[in-house]
Amino acid sequence: MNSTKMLTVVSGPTDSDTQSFSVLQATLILRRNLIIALLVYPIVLGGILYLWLPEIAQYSLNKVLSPGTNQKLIDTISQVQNRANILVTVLPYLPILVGMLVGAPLFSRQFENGTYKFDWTQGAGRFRLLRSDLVVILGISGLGAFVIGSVYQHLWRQPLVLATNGVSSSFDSANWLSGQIFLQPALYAAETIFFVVISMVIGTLIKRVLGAIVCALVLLVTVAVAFQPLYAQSRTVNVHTVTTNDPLEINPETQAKLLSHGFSPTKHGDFEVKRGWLNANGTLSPVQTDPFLKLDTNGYAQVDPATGNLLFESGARYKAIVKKIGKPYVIWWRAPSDYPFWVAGWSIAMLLLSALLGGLIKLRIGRKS
Amino acid sequence: MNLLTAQNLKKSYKGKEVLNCNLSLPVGKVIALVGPNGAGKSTLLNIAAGLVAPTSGSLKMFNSFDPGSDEIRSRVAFVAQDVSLHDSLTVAEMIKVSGCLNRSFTADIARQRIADLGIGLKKKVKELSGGQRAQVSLSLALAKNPDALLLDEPTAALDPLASHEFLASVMQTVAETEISVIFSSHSMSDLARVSDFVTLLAHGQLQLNTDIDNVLSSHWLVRSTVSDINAVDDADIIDIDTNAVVGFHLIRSEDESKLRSFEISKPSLEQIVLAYLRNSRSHDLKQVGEVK
Amino acid sequence: MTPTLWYAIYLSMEIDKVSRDVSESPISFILDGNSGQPTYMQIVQQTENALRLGHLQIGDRLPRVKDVVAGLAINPNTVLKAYRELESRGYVAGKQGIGTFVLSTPAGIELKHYVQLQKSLNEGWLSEARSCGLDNESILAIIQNALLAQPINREKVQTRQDRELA
Repeated sequence: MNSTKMLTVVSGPTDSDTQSFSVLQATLILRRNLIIALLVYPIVLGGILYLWLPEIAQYSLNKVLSPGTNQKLIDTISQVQNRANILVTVLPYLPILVGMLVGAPLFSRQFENGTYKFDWTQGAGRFRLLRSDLVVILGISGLGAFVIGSVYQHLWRQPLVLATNGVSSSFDSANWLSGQIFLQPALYAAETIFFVVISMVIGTLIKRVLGAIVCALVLLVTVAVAFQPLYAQSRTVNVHTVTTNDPLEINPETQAKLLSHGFSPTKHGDFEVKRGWLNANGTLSPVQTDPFLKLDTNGYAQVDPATGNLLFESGARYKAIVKKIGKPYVIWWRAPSDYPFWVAGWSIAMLLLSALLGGLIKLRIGRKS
Repeated sequence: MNLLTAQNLKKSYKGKEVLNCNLSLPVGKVIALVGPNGAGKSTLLNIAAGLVAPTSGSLKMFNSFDPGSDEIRSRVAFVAQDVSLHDSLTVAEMIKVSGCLNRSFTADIARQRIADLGIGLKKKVKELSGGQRAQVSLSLALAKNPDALLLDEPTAALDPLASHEFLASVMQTVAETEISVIFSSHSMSDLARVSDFVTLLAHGQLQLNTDIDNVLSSHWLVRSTVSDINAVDDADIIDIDTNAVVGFHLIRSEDESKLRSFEISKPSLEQIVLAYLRNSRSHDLKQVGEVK
Repeated sequence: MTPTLWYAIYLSMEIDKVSRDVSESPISFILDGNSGQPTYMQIVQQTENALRLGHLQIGDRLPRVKDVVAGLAINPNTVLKAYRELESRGYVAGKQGIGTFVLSTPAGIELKHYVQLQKSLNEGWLSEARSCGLDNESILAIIQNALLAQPINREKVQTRQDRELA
């Protein structure tokens, strides 16, 4: 037998790097592909959004508008809206996708291919690895969602504020960072984190990747359908300001309902409109015009549910309405609540629930009798 | 000091009991854990490695430590049956990950072994052959500088050469250090050449648990009728030769002198183990407890 | 006997290639899985044969345990057991941490004598015994009886050590 191929015991100081104990570093290597995907997709999506809204972005950068340029802006917004509509419609469902594709396979794959037998018998142990996984994966998921939410907020909603305000001397970047605007991306991030954690739990219950993904999809859709209308309506404020002739105003009472409950008119009188310039948060701007709808003594038009619903519909219907009434007018949609405490409250609630679920995962992966 | 002490150790999966034993294993030996499929060998190893908890009873490593503790996880290295490395990582990255997850890890030990075996560090784990994966796993385990090595059917999926090289590697380490090894196996030839202690489990219960020298010196093939043997005290029939009225039965006895009146012969280790396995299959299990 | 003969011939061909380097052992071991003989005894026998044939000389080192084990994939204790047996027979001595070294050799036999004896046995007595119709067991019985009847005269047998010192 060839005995030259034998282990030479290395004695004395060794030259190469001694790998120091670092669970974080291990997580970064083990979850490398996932992390890259989680970093890339928000950059791509955010980039697309940013590219599709160049003109608006330009306006967002601290520029003050003069009244005369509004129409151009309005038209641009309409164009962009049509263009970006698909993407914007998808955004609310991203947390479900991320949860499903990131959270569900995380543990189920380990069970399916047996790598947990390696991971959990190393010196660090399963709980340190779990902690590291949660911090890194949830952190990056949340961050990515925050980035997309911010781009969306910055490039979408804010210009609409501009558009409806006309000249906005009060707009500056501070607004952008102020509570109202800040919180929406936070909500989006919290929701993403929440959905990823739910999926991770599923991954510890259903120890097959495909099954876990499917189950996560079902569960997340259920949760979203049940709760998203509460905290984040799927449709955004989309204000086409019209010519100086036909703006609309919402009765403040109606508006309050809309903002807090995602209200949709169910009967005549639920929805009262008055035409005027509308801001993104539904308040009336000073410019008044003659109404096209019949007004009551308070100056509000009584709109039947059908017409009221029409007012909530997507841009595709805009043309139909224009045709019907013979002239362009304001369509506005239900707005995601800007009410800061509402948004903050939901965000915190979701983060707390996520922490709880994290604890549940820890229980699930513990040594079971 | 005992490597492993199991007291009333029981494990059930879905209501079915797969392990129920009392045993202790000594340090510093190469222990072969044998038994038919479903005997509980993997279960015992998994509990010792800290992967699963027993349903009841206790298992302690090195007399007093819980297998799931930080201390034991760094002193004991486990290589699972299908090796279970991360397929998409390179060998170098697996070494790095192991280094990150273990405090007393000496990466050079792993790198040197792997280089000596001619395995490329840049290769992805999924590109390696079965034998190479097993060697990488073993290298990572040994680089932890463990006091004990637990191997779950390490050679089951390996071709004969890879199997030989794997065992040779383990034996080299045993020659150079005080490491204890527990490996589970179906292979009788592995058992005979490599181990010095045998633990036989069947249906989750202990049949044999002693030094191989002890096994060999306490078992005999005795030609007689069954009743004649039963008349001898301190002699237990392990396996009855059903081919003849006066057949060669496998007997366990501490006292050879009692068997002098019979024609006796020495069974091989393989014959002895097979006898116990046959015995267990007929469900006529004798809880033989520990043969000291 | 056959494996030992193969071994002897193999070694005789290799003997010129092996250099007398003290750090390496001149011999290595093989394992015959079918011989029915315990592994450690095979090592003992192979060592004794090497001693007899002069492949191992006084002061030579026996293979390191870890090297034997690396090649044969056997338990180190088996090798240790063999070396202990050789030590009890007076052929080797172990030095802690350094290795096991040859202390004395049995009465050696030069290869040419060995081959000669083998030939005369095969062509002479053995073929005669076969032609009488004896089987292996009967032959072995005769030889065993003969050996028992003729105890070795220890004084006549010189160890190589004695010859060298003289």
